[in-house]
Amino acid sequence: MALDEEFIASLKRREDDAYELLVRRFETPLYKYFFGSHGDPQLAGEQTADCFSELVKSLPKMAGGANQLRPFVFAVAKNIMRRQWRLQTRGFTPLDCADDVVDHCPGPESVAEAAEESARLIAAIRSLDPATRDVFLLRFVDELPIAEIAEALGEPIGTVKSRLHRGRQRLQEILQTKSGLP
Amino acid sequence: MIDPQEPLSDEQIEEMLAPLRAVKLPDHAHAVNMAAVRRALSLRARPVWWQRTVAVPVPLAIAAIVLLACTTVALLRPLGNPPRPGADGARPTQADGIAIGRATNAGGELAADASWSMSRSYIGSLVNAHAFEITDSKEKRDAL
Repeated sequence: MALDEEFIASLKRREDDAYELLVRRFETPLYKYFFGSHGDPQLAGEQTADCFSELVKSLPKMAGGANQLRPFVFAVAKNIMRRQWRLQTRGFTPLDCADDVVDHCPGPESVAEAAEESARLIAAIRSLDPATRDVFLLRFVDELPIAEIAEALGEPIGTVKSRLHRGRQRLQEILQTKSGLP
Repeated sequence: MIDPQEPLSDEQIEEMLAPLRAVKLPDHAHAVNMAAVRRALSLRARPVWWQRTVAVPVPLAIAAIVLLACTTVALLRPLGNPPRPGADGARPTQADGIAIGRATNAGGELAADASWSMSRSYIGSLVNAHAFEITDSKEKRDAL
């Protein structure tokens, strides 16, 4: 079944086959989004399952067609992530925890320096404010276009672009600070 | 290596986030996600409480209906049956109306139309279903 209007109609009718396809299509991108936000694989798995439970309840009310599905799914994911952050103490994820990311990510051992830089960048992204972090994860990890990111986060396209630009500057500062460079 | 003097480009960010893009779903995650979906679908399929039906044995249902009907009749019956003047439950007659009129008119003469007006008001309080025996009021007056 293709991700088209018939698929959306099947989802709204709560057909099992359609939801199985939905899970197969979005479980990995959602898991990457949640894992990228905090680095806890167990929590990311729970949040992914919660996201699908919420989608069963809310998809019948979704407005728009098939092109709205991906932003809608990530909008639900964003709300689940916000709920999680309200429960947790907000704070900077120390670079020590960035090793967990490297442990779960396959990569050649010969490029240790690149892996270290990745870990530092991932930790730096997690230290950004939630809205900017979401923009970076959806843009560079889930590879959503800017228009869909704006739709998912409920913000204007200009705001998303501005967050990308400011976030890039902020990451530069963090990485320079951590590397000890002025 | 990141050049501190140059802002991060999209390509640099993408390259550095490649490990995160390569993250794989844990083996059990698909089963967990499908279980969550099935649980949510089964909850949505359950109707709200006022739409649900309950199974009641037929004899019990019949007994409840009969009991309800009897209770309803018993409650409504006094409203349709005002108290009757005769202890034996006999149909009210003109004589009864005259007697009532006489009892309430202790001081004065029994006027020619007093009994009739009293009877008329008494008639007004009766249910239509009850018959009223109208006798010749003149004969009654003469007899008195």
